[in-house]
Amino acid sequence: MNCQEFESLVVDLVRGEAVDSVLGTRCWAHASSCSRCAELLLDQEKLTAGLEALATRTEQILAPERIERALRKEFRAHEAKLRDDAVGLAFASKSVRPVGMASSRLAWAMAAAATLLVVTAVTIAKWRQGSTLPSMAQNQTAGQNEPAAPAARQQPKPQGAASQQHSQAPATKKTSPSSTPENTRPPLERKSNSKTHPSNRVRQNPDDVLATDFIWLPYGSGLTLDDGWAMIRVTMPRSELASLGMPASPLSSEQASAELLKADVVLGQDGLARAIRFVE
Amino acid sequence: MTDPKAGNDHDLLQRMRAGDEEAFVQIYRSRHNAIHSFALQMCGSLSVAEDVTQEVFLAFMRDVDKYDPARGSLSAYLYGMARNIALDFLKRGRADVPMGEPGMETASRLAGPGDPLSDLTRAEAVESLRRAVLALPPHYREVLVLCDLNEMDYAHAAGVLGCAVGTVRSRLHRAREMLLRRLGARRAAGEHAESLKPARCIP
Repeated sequence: MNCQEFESLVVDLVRGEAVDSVLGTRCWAHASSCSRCAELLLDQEKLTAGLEALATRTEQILAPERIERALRKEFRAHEAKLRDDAVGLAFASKSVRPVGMASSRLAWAMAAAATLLVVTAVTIAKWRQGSTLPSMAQNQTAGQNEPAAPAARQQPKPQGAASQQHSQAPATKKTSPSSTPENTRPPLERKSNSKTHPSNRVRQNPDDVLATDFIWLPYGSGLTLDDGWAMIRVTMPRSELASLGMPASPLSSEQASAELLKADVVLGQDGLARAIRFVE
Repeated sequence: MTDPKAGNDHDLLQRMRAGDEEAFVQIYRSRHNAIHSFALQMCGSLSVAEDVTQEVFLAFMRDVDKYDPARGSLSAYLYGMARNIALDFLKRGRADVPMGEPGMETASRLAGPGDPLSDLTRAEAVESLRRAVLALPPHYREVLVLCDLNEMDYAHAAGVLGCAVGTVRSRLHRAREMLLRRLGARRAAGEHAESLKPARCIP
């Protein structure tokens, strides 16, 4: 063994670790023959003794009792928190059903609810559309099956034109045969009650036969009737159809001017005509 | 190295996980002094050693499920935590308050039996050695503290530090060389001071 090998093993030798008996014997033999290595071995043994003394000194310093008390307190708090969390988790697991049959039942229920919602929405939309512009079928049914309101029957027809308001509002203005919807703008007190169903107005004159459904007028179709509306009956020459954006009459201009048509005009709150239907 | 307390640890851990405070306290009492000594030897400050000890067992209590017996003994796990926390303290500069702490003074007086003069000398030497240990770079210091001050074998220390046995061995050799050099220089300086005698007295 040379000095370099001894130096690499001296710590293990002093510690009694990783050095077998044969290697240990060789180390000791080298140290006995080499004064430098012997001194190194002695220094290492002194160092080991000093470190043992330091370890002994340190081991006598104990951790204070207050650490244990603090840890005990913290342990109790920690366990209490864990219990609270466990209760919270249990509550949450009851609230949220696991995936499985229960969740599929829930999905079916949600689908049924969504379907019901859609059907309800469509029904309401159709009802609102119907309440704004009643279909001819509804009016005919209403006119044929239900008796007309007495007040409407007693209402005198103006010559050639019958001004129809909703049932609660009296007629206040007569319309001339040549009047256009703009000219027949009703006063503000004619503002209709939006709760009144328009079919009620049809009942006022059961003798009328409705010829057409309501037709949106080109300049008024983009406006709403949400704020209220009124319907008036007018007579107008056939030649005025073109001014309303409707197909021109095949008759000659004189004949068309002479032929009068009876029509119901729906007016918005602003007095502008929105739609028209023709009555025979 | 097998931990002789491993079987008992298993039961204590089971009870501790079930919320048994006394089981936790038993684990603490069986290891807190070793952890405290390790922290004191690493940091050189009583207050830091107490903080490290408390933090080690707090972290262990809160995350007891992180300990996997298959990966090592409970002692190695706790030493590893103490090492990491102590290194954090060292990085933050909360360490190396070597003198003036009452516990240390008491320990110096308790250094050994026998002749008071000899004890004093020995205590001074031990204090010099302690300072030399604290002056070592941390990765050499931790190996020396584990292997020489806490009597761990290489394998166990390697498990605590998470490195190879060969690394532990070479670092320990290097740490002891550094200590000897430092103490030898001090000794040489002392011998040199003694050798300086006045040539003549100047009245």
